[in-house]
Amino acid sequence: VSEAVVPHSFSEAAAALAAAATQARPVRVVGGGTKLGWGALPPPDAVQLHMAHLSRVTIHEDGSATINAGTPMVRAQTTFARSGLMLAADPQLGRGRTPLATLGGVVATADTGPLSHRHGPLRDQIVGITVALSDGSIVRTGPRTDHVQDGFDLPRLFTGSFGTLGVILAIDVRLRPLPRQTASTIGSTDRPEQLKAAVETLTQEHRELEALDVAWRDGRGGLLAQVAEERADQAEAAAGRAAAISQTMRACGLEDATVRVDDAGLWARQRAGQRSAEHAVLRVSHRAAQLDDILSVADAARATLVGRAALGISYLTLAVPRVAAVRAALPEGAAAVALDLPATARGAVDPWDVPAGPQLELMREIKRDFDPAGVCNPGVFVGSI
Amino acid sequence: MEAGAELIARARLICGEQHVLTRTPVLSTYRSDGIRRNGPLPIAAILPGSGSEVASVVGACAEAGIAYVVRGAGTSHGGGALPRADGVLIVLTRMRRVLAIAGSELTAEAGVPLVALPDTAARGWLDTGERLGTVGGHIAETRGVGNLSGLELVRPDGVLVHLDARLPGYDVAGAFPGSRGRAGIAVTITLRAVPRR
Repeated sequence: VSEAVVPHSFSEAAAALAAAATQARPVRVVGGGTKLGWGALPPPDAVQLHMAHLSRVTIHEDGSATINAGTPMVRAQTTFARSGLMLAADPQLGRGRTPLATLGGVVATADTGPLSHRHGPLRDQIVGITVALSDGSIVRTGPRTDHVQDGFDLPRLFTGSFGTLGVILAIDVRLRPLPRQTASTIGSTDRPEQLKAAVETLTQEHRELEALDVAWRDGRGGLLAQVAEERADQAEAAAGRAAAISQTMRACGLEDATVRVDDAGLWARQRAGQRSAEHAVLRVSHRAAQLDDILSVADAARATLVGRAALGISYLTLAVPRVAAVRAALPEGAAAVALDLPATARGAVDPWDVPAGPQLELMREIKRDFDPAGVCNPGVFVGSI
Repeated sequence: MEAGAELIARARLICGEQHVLTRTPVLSTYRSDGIRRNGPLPIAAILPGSGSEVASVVGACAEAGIAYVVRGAGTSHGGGALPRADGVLIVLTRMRRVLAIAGSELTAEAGVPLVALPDTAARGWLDTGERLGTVGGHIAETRGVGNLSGLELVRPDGVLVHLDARLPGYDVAGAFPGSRGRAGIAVTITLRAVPRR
């Protein structure tokens, strides 16, 4: 029987986790509930730890911020925007018009968006973390504590750990100036190798890009490049820089290469392409130089693809029966995690597909070190961790 | 044979006689760090020539119950390179080969000096102005190095683990920088090129 606990403080959350551990009951953390379908099937009798009341944003004088894990991303970004700042992380925050995703959920799943082209993945924005472990202790690392932590970097281990090491309570992040004016350029092609070459040229010649995404479907697609200015009255400057990118795209053989000043919808569509209610979504990690191969794999599987063109992260949306064929066709070193899966496919498709070996064994060792009771979201992660 | 002497004998079999240093005048050169702070004389300074030799030496230390401190060029300012009187130094400066540069990735042994990394005007391999020290030392001492795509890691029990940052799961390779020797010894490191801004 599932049971829900709604802590109002860090110590209540830690106590709830410790109480579950003494009863050997699994605990599943719930934030905005937008990614509960990710990972392998959770145990049916898990205690649900709802984070809604652990919601607070504090901006510090040094330009960093502390965000409690249950804070909706939208609320945090709205608070930062009032100060002309942003957290440089822009994943899809929920299906439809209800962006409920919380900071804790985004960190726990290492979800990402187009801004990672310039600012790196979310983990690069995190400077400290506060977590509750299953022995009831609260551990804090980062610039707001005197505690010096050797060994593995806690924020990086917890980012993308799917709640299997402990409960994320708060995150310390560095903030960036909020761009007030953006412009984007879109160039298209039907040749994967031409698109890959254009990515290499654009990253070398335009190092100031905020985002450089790829969108691909049915043997055709393109690149989307965004530039940003800090002031709202710099529309002309942004458009001018986007026009220079347009020239580079044309020199690379891309067609159209048009400039859009009103580009918010464009990037919202890119983020939306990372999620699906009806089909499987595979997050493929690969070398940037393998992008043309990944586009060919997507075509063969009749998948649509969006992704970070220069970072080697591609999201393929496809019919569930084709997931295995895509995994088999991936180039050497690439790996595919199934994020969204229709309810009927959950349990039938291994979301992780990680081979047994020393790296997986090391992960099991880390899990045992942090969660010896084995109650933190057990079974949902790689190798049934 | 007492444990220290036994470990020295095993290390000489693993690394070769000339790469296990025990004479006081030679050992003295390994006592200081980047701010010339002096530590005690260690039992020995062991200079392995490969990742598998490091793994064998660490395994031998674990079996003998003898502590080790890992050292690159000895430029740490945080005491990370200082030896212990009851332990050995594992010195990685013989491991200074750039093993591969393939596309935008470079694989190097941990003892490669930072100045020996083949940077260009357009891209570098580590986003640092630091010129002293080794690649392995820089990564072991610096939190937040974000462009690691792989590591060969010798764990404290002497097991050599290859970590691929693209493999799903805990970001173990990403969490290694700044671990200051407590998560294991990185013996080879693969870096993605970082553009110069």
